[in-house]
Amino acid sequence: MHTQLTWSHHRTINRAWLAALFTVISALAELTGDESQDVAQLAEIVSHEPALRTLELAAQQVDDGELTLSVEYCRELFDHAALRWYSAQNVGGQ
Amino acid sequence: MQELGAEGTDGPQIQTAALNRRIGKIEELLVELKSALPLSARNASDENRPVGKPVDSGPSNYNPRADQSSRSGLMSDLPKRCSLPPVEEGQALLTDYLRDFNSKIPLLAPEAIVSHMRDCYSGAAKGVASSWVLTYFVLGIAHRLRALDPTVRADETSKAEQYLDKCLNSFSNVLLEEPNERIVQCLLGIAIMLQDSPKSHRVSSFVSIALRMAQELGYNEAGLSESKVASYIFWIAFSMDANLSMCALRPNTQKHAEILIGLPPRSDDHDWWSMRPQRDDKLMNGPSGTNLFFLHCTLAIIQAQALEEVFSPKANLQPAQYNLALQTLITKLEAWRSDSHIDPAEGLQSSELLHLATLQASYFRTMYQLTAAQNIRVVKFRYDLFSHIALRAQKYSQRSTLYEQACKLLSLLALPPLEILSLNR
Repeated sequence: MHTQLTWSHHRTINRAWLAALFTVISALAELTGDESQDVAQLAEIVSHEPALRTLELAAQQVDDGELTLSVEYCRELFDHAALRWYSAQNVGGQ
Repeated sequence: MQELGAEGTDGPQIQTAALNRRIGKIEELLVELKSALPLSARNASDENRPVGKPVDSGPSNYNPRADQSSRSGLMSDLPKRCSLPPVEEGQALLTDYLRDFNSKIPLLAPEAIVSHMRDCYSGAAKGVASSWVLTYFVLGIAHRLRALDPTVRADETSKAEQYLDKCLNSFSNVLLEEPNERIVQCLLGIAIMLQDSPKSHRVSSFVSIALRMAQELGYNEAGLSESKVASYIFWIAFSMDANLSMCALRPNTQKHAEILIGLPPRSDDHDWWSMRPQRDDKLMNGPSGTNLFFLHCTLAIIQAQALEEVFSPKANLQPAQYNLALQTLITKLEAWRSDSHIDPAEGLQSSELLHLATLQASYFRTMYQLTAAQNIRVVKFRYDLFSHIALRAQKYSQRSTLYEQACKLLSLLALPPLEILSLNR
C-alpha cells in the first residue's frame, strides 16, 4: 500500500489522535448493564475501527515504538468490546 | 497580558485604507519579482542559475543585506547548482504560502520574503544563507500544503522533503553567527517543516534554540523591541515551544511570567501577512473575530502555566494542591475552548481545515494530559501520559469529561482534505 499518511509524523497531532481514540474506545467499553444502551455503545466502538487501523499504520510509518505499544493497547480494548458486540448481535438475532 | 496595539486610535476606515495600500504595494512587489529578473532566470535550470548582479531593491524599505557584514561567509559553500523552480512557479508557490500559511502563522513579512526570493533568483543572495533557507522554507511549506490534494500528494510531499533537506544543508554555519531576526525565522521555518517529516523527533531542538535567540535579542521584553515582526516571531517561538514541551512534559524554554510584551491582537491583520484582500472571515474567526494566531498564543500560556506550576519538580505540590492546580488549569482550558469558536464551518479551504485541526489537536491533547494527570496522580516532568502504561492506569475513567471533545476531534481529522483517514475509504 503506497498511500502516505500526510500528517502521521506530526507528533503533537498523532498523540492527540491517540488520546481521542483511547478516550472514545475506553469510555464505550464500559458496559452500563442496560442491554440496549450497551449494544449501541459497542456499535459505536466498531465505527471507530477505521480510525484505529489508520493510527496503527501511522505508528508503523513513523517507527515510533511507544506509540505502537499504546495503539496496541487501544486495539486490545477495541477487540474486547467488538467481540462482545458481535456476541450481542448473534444473541439478538437468534 | 494586553494585546499589542489594543490602544490604537485609528478608526476602522483608516486601518482599511492602510491595509489596502499595503496589499497594493506587496502585489507590486510580486509583479516586480517576476519582471525584474533577466529572462534567463525566469526559466533557469539548475545549471543556468544567474549569479552576480543584484536587482534594484525596489519600493520596499526592507533591506535584507543591511547587516551582511555579520553574515559574510555563511554561505561561502553555497552550491552553485541551487534548485529553484521557474519564476512563474516560484511566484505561485509564494502566493500559496502567503495565503495559506503566513496569514495564520505570520512568520515572515511579505515584502521581506519577496526580497529574499528576488535575491536568490538574481544571484544577489550568494553567500547569504538566511535568504536561501527562508526561500526554501516558503517553497517547501507551499508544496506541503499542496499535498493536501490527494491527487498530487506523493509528488508534492517529495518536493517538500527536498526543500527541507536543502534548508538543512544550507544551515550548518548559521548557528555560529550572532543572533538576528532572520536566523530566528530560519530556525522556526526549519522546525515547522520538520514537524511533518520523518525527522520530526528533532523539532524541539530547533524551536528551543530559536526561542533562546529571540530572548537574546530582547523580543520578550517591552521596550527592547518595538517591531511587530519581532513580537510575532517571539510568540510563534513561544507557542511552539510550550506546545512541544507540554506534549513531552519537559521543561519549557521561556517562563510565561517573564514575557513582558503584549499578546498579538485578538482580531487583527492576518490579511496584512497574506497580502490577501479583506474578506468575510466569519468562517475562520467565529463570531468574536478571534484569529488563530492569537488562540495559539493564549493556549500556549496555559500550557506553560501547567508545566511551571504543576509538572515541574520545583512546584512540589501536596496532593490537595496538585488537584486544585490541575482543576484550575482545566477550567482555564475549558474557558479558552468555549471562547475560541474553532469548530469548522462549511466552505473552509483545505489549508484552513488543517490549521483548525492542528489547533484543536493541541487543545484536546492538553486537556487529555491534564485529565490523565488527575487520574494517575503526582505526575512530574518526563512522564509519558500517552504511554501504554499511562493508558492502562486510567482505563475507563474519562467518559464524562472528554468523550464529546474526542469525537469532535476524530470527526475533524476524518474530513476529506486532511486525509488522515484516507486509507479507510
